Amino acid sequence: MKFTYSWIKRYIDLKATPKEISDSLTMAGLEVVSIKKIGGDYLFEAEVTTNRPDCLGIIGIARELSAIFNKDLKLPSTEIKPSYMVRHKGDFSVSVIDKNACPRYTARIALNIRVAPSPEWLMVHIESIGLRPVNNIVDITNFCLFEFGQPLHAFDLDKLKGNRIIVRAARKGETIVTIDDARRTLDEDTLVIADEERPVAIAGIMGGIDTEVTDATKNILLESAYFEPSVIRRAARKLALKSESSYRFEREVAWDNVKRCSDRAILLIAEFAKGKISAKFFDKSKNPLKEKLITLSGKRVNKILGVDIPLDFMKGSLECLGFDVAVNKDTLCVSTNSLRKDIKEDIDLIEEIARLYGYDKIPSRIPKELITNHRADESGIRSKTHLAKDTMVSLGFNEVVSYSLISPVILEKLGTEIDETIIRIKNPASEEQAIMRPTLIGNLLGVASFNLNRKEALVNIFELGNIYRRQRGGFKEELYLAGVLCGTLDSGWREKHRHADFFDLKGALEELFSRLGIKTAEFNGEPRQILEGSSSCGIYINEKCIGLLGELRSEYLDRFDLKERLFIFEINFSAILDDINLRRHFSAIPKYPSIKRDISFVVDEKISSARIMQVIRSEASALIKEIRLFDKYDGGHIPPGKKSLAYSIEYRSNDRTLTDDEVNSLHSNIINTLRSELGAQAREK
Amino acid sequence: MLGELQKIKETFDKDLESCVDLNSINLFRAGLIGKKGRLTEIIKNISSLNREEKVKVGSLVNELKHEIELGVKARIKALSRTGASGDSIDVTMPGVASRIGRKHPLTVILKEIVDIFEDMGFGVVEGPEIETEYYNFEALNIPKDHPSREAFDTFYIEGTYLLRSHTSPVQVRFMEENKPPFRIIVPGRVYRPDATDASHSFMFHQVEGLMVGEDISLADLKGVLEIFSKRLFGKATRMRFRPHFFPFTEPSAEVDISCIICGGAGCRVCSNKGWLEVLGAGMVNPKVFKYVKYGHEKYTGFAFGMGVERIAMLKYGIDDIRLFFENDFRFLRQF
Repeated sequence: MKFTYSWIKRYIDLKATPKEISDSLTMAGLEVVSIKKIGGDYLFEAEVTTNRPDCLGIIGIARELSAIFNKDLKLPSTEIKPSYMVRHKGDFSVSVIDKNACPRYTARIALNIRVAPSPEWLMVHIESIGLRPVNNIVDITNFCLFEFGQPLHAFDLDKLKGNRIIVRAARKGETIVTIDDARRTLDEDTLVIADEERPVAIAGIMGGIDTEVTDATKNILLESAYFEPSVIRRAARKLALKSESSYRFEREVAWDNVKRCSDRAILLIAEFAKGKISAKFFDKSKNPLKEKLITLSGKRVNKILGVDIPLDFMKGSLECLGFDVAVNKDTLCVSTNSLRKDIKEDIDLIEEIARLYGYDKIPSRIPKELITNHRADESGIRSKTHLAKDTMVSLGFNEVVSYSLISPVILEKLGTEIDETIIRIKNPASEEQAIMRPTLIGNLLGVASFNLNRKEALVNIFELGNIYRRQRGGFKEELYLAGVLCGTLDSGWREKHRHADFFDLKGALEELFSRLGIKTAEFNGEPRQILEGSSSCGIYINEKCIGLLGELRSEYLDRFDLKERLFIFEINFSAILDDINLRRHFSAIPKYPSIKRDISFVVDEKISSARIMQVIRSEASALIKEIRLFDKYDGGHIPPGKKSLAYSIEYRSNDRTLTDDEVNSLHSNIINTLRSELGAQAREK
Repeated sequence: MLGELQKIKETFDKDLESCVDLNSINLFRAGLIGKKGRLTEIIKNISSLNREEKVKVGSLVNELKHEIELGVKARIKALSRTGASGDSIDVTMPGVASRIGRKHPLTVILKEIVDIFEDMGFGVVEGPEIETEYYNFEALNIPKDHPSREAFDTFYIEGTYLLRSHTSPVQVRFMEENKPPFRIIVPGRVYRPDATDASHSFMFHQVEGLMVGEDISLADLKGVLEIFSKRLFGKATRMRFRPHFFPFTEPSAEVDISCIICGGAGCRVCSNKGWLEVLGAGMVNPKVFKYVKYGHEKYTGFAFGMGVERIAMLKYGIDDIRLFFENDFRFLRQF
């Protein structure tokens, strides 16, 4: 909303500097976003919040200033002197068909006007806020619109057919050429002002070109109305047509201003266009607005604000804002008015008092209320996600945060079927953001590709975030944890660089599960189709598949513009929340020493490490504290189809020191069992 | 002779220090007490002295010889500790370590924000991102076809299901299930179909706060947010409440902090205003209490909300919101 200092001064005798005006309006809730010096005047632009349509008229802003600076508000005269009036002999009528959409419609006829340029002062005012002067009639309606915030419209009376104005819903397919010279096709959702034959204006939005005021116009019909805000809003949206009028009708105009503004304009027309005013004032009102009494307790004002404002101040502030206030002990009785339709309850008045008292004068206080219902992180989900993130970061992974809305192309690339479980946005801003992600993998591959293409040698990333799917009866949002590892591991100048592989990622996950207190994670089973069958697996906890791990198949690399071998994992974090155990229980540090023995043997390549561990453990499991694979070797002098493995086994008893003999015997039992069960051949050291 | 002894004694420590390996120590030792060492030469010539001088020089020589043996021994020991063979290392070469990763700056700032409120007794509550019109709008006093909805352009899924455009629906969900007094904060993702540019994103994060009790006032809101802004942005931070309009709070305020770049003098970041808008806040509108069936006028409370990206951008001096979601390593590794 634009206004100038000189225009404001028409209604209030202000001495304040433009800066003072701007600051005080801002601190009273009408944020001034710019001040420009124009000649000897100042142009202000303020942001008017949707609850304050009264400030879409300059008088409304002047009223705010009068309350802030405690100055009288001088309103323009709307008294029509009998000398301006004539008796209009013609026969004219107004009928409102849709009274719900148009609760109040007024019209007045002015005769024998002289269309000419506006007087200088009026042109200066409307030009200063960015309008182009047209002629005295159009300029006066614009001037009054900005003065009161009440849109007006002038029709050329002689171009209206049938001496009748009808306010009705448009008929489907009916058209009108609006004053911006565009032909618009209407339907029943749009309210129109029509004559006997056709629509002559789209109600509250824009007039028609056929009946607009021109230099040749002699007689006019001046419309001033109250249209139902939601009706205008829907029509403006449907037609994609906005105007200064629709902006104000959508936000609701003041019932009382409908006539007041019409009177003001017709007086200016009589004065500057030398017209005569028809005595007949058409006023089709559904029912006049009733004032309401709000009872406001001073105690409640101070309780909510946490202050001690005297009742006198409350009364004075509300009166300055144009309310009638009566005092009854600690209570104020305030009558509402049509200028401030946003004031309906006591809380609305409390805000008014707070604004004028000054938010900056309200003290800061530390709440003294006790906490009796404090349920922080009952499920432990926050500690669990934090621990997972901390662990991944300490393992070298960088956290990424990516969009939950993705392009269907990503799913196509992943070969994920876009079935009924995929959630689609009905009104996406673009196809890039049309789908809610059902997996984190696509985004992570995108991030990997982005960084590898910018010459990062190693991409090690993870995301812990929601995925979304439709399920019977609703939607599910589940936390997933996923990661990507790709590139060269480079620990500096001392060790040789090497490509990150499956076991680097598996090792990270083992460490993660260990930190999360999950002891039963297993890596095996069938992987998903995007992973290489030979180097991937499922992740299981208590025989429930909760994720996957492995190498991305090469055809997917191409689709995501990736070149190097790449390893991924994805875990349904929601599904393992109950398995995560953050409790720690101390076990006594062993009293007796442990003994380590290495074992090295050649075995058939097909025999899995898990199976070997199982066999080792089957012998003397109570005394084996740890089995660690420390070497794997094939090729060279190892026969084809075989592999050489070396394990270090740690033996310890909780109640005595084991003897060498004891351990040697256990150890040779293990070697024997490996031979008999798996055909392993021990190698000489 | 005495002069020569004095010289050996004076330069011994320095000379020994300059020996950096076993070889140079042995050479140095031999130069003093070897067959043709300087001290050995002196001993050889002692007999030419008179009795009085013999005694004086002899005791000095013995003292010095002992000192040399001890010094050399200690030096060898010291060297054997630093480098195996006494080979020196270039201590300016970079260290060798595996690099730890980084948390995303949004995670970092979110934790900072949450920690401050947790210290003040706020509990963390979360809610669904896929919401209904009822929770996202109606129960927050944002009626259909009302201009106040304009501030909340929304992604729809189907029917009345939508992607929440703010975290405020969780206020309603929480109040339906809980009775005051309580204080909670609600972090989460929100969505608005804004055209994406340097300062707008169709998805971003918010933190919502809500405290309700029998005697919670606007003064309490100011107190809580003052602690928050001083802890997050520094002790010198000033705060300003400007009246504003939100449908779900009344009285409502926009909260500015003194510009963290210029301290309020006016600069490019604050568009020369000296203030930065960081929060929306206010007293819970009684109409919202009515929706969750709280007794009329029994409870009062405040609510506030902030954009996490905005806070992070101000705090870290990030000038483009899209950087958060691009996940460029050159960005991520700065936090």
